[in-house]
Amino acid sequence: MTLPPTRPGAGDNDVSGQRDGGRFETASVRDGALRSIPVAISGLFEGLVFGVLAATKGLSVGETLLMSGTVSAGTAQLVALDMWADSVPVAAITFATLLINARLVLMGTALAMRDSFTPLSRVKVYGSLFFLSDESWALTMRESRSGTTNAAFLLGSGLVLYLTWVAAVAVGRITGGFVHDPDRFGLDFAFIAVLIALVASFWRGPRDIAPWTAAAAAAVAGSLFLPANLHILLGALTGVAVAAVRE
Amino acid sequence: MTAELDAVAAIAGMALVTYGLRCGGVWIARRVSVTPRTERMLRQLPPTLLISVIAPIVIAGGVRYAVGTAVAALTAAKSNSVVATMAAGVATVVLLRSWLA
Repeated sequence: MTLPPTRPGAGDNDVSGQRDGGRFETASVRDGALRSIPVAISGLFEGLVFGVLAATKGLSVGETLLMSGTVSAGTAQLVALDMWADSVPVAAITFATLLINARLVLMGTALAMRDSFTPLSRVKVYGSLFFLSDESWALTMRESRSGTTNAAFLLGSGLVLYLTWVAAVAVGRITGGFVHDPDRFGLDFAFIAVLIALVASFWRGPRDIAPWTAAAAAAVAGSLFLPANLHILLGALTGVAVAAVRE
Repeated sequence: MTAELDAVAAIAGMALVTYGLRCGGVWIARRVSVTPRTERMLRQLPPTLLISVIAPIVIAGGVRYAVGTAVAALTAAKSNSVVATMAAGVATVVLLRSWLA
């Protein structure tokens, strides 16, 4: 067996079979927490809005906090609010959540390719992943370009974002309980405006026009004759089908 | 702090599905590779689903909502800010209500 010539000291980390990024350090947790504070502050408002809207939709304080604490995914929670009714459509809401949050799989794949999740214990990997969100993912991916990141950074950044989200939702829900005529303040439209802002954040270019138009047309048509909420599924699948055909 | 049974069931469903998806990427990455084509298609799910929620509500809301949507979409494109988009959209709808009333 011949070894390739190396500079002295190069590749020291490989000797143990552990990649450098595989470490899980308190310093990285703190780093992630500090870096995400500005993002968390700008996200406070969304939590407040969700809380107020949850109040107008009739969710109790307990239900609102249970959802925000265990799901902790703003977009899916807003869509669930839209589908919420006196008799809650459990299957439809769960399925809609699956479709909206499917992107988390791709984000996890990207993390696994760039970060050294592999040498870590399952508890550390899948514990940190509870805090995977659009924001914590973006921060961790950006950090990982400098080659220092690992699941610890994700945990720190995710924890700060999680705690601010739940706290902001709590304040919004309790305040929202005192809003008696939400339409007067245009709150009926606030919900739609937030969703429009979220849609815009997914815009990647003119290629999106065809699938998005198809989704809107199918959803409007479907809403005229399909049972409640099924038009959402029809619209989303039509949009993805159009995107697939154009590939 | 009350919670209805069907509400708890829906929240549990959402929570389990979401945590599964959060773990799924790393789990899959260790076993198979996701093709770029599949990735591009999956990327279309969140925006097309959101549009499917919004579109029928806007159509049912009439002129007021249609104008509000246009203003909100323009603001979102220019500012990339949820706060600005909401402020512009809500202000438009409230103003139109007083004018149209």
